Amino acid sequence: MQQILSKNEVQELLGRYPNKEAALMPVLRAIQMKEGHISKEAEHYAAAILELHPSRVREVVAFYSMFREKPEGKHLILVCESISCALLGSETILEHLKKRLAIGVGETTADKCFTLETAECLACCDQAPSVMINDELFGPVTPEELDGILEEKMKG
Amino acid sequence: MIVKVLTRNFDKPDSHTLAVYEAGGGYRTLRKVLESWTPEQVVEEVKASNLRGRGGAGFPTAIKWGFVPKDSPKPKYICVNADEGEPGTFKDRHIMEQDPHLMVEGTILSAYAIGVQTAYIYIRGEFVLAGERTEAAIAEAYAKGYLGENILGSSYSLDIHVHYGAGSYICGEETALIESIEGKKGWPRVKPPFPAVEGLFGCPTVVNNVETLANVPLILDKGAAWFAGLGTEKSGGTKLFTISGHVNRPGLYELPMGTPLLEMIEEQAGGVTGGKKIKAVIPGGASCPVLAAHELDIKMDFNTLMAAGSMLGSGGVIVLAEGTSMLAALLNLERFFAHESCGQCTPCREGTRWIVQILERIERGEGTAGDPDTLIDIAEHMAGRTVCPLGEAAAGPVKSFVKKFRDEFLPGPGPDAGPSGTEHHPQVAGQDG
Ligand SMILES: Cc1cc2nc3c(=O)[nH]c(=O)nc-3n(C[C@H](O)[C@H](O)[C@H](O)COP(=O)(O)O)c2cc1C
Ligand code: FES
Repeated sequence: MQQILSKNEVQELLGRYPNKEAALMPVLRAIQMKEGHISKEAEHYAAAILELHPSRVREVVAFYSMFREKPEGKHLILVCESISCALLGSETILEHLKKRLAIGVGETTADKCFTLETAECLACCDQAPSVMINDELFGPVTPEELDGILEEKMKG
Repeated sequence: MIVKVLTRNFDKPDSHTLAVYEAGGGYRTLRKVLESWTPEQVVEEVKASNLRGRGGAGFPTAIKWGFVPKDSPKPKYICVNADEGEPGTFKDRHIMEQDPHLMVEGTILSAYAIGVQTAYIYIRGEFVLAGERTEAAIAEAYAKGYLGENILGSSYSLDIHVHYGAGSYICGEETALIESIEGKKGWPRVKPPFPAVEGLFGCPTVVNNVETLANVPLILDKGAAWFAGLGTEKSGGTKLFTISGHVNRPGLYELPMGTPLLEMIEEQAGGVTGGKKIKAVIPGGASCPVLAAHELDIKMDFNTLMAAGSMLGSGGVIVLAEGTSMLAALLNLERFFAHESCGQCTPCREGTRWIVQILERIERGEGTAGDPDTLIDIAEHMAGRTVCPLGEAAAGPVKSFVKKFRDEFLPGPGPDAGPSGTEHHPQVAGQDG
């Protein structure tokens, strides 16, 4: 089986908890940071190093929305759809992005550049409507500003 | 009236660093307490301060700590709830980004009071900067001897670990949070046993919100009487309010507990956008029952809002201006709850779905005269019939929206269908939203 994390990385994560099982979420997070998503093989790898039944890993990967089961685009766009952003036009933002990227929610552009997702409140409701691209928050955004941001990302 | 107590460092350059925190008196209290206070004295001081939990329920903090059995041979834990996911709430993220050491010092002092040797900070997975700054603050605190073995030469030792969530609102509920740290899906536990007796890894555990713990250093520095005096008779301190929606200056405002709602909206948040009238306000985050325009002359504290049939919740004030479709707004809220229901309890899992389906039907123009009562009926069957309060959280908005704005849930376009949508497809945002 391919070793995705180094021995030291695994030891460091295990050291935070009194049992191996509890290190499951940080192990999955570390795998996803390395590989971009959590493949079936990676699930088995996590199960093996933590001595868990693979179904336990499956259950956790399926439950948490941030654990991604398939590869995504280079840039992940999250459009907040919750109430404060909705009050300030998040629907317009989402429709604009769908048209602009010619994809639906949960889809990736053909060039693998962008994946479009909706999100629940990103806890920056004072910047509504807000959008998170990879690790960065943007808001309040207009469709025009978003176009500019996407241009930048495509170059970079 | 703004009072800068919790947020006093926020505007300083590099406020998140140890140097700035220490220059402002940071960790002075920790030194004082470890040198000359017993854990019992800390608990007594916090009790006298009238500090109540800022995570939503407003439970008196020292009383919660008091539930932890003193003579248990098991290790004890404290979990810092930094999962902040209640729509309309963005205070904990600000504390972690702008003054993470305040949370860390508060965690150490609280852990000392309870006799805890290991603390976990459960940070929402989406919080990138807040997570980085919290981890950096913890590393700085270890390097300075504020964490680890024999803190500042005392006999007290504590480790703090960060545990990241992965996109699940329910994990903010304290027992789901515990399950999540244990490496499981976030299904809340049946209580009792309460976490104070049997929590994380089967051991006595206290779960406290970030803002709650951030108050502890201030209480122990300036004294319980000072802190109690900042608030109301039953609830001490200031409160971080986050104001969003249709206002001119949305943002985070630190105000005394009990500040009038209208003062907050008019003076701090600069009034309603476009000079419009207020149609309704959700006073404490998405799960708090809505207040109609005639109910806004109200003081913002736990007891007053409870008496008015709503909640202070997490202090997320969401302002809805005239022109907002209440149908679309409620549908938005209920889609959130349906999506975030963990699926464990039938009344919540099915109830939230039915509510969404009925609201969507009304939105399509296929509503019936019986729908308002059906909605209230479903909500009443959810509340109190689930393992955790998410069912209740989803039911409160339904009952309050439908009872207070009944016309908008009847067949035909409501009075404020909103010109941005077609007659039957009102959007949440008004025309110029
Ligand atoms: C569905 C649900 C979500 C919750 N989310 C949070 C949250 O994100 N942050 C938080 O501090 N408390 C949250 N709570 C409240 C916690 O269960 C718990 O009461 C709180 O963390 C206790 O801290 P406190 O006593 O300091 O307020 C949530 C409760 C429920 C039912
Ligand atoms: S509602 Fe969008 S960030 Fe809170």
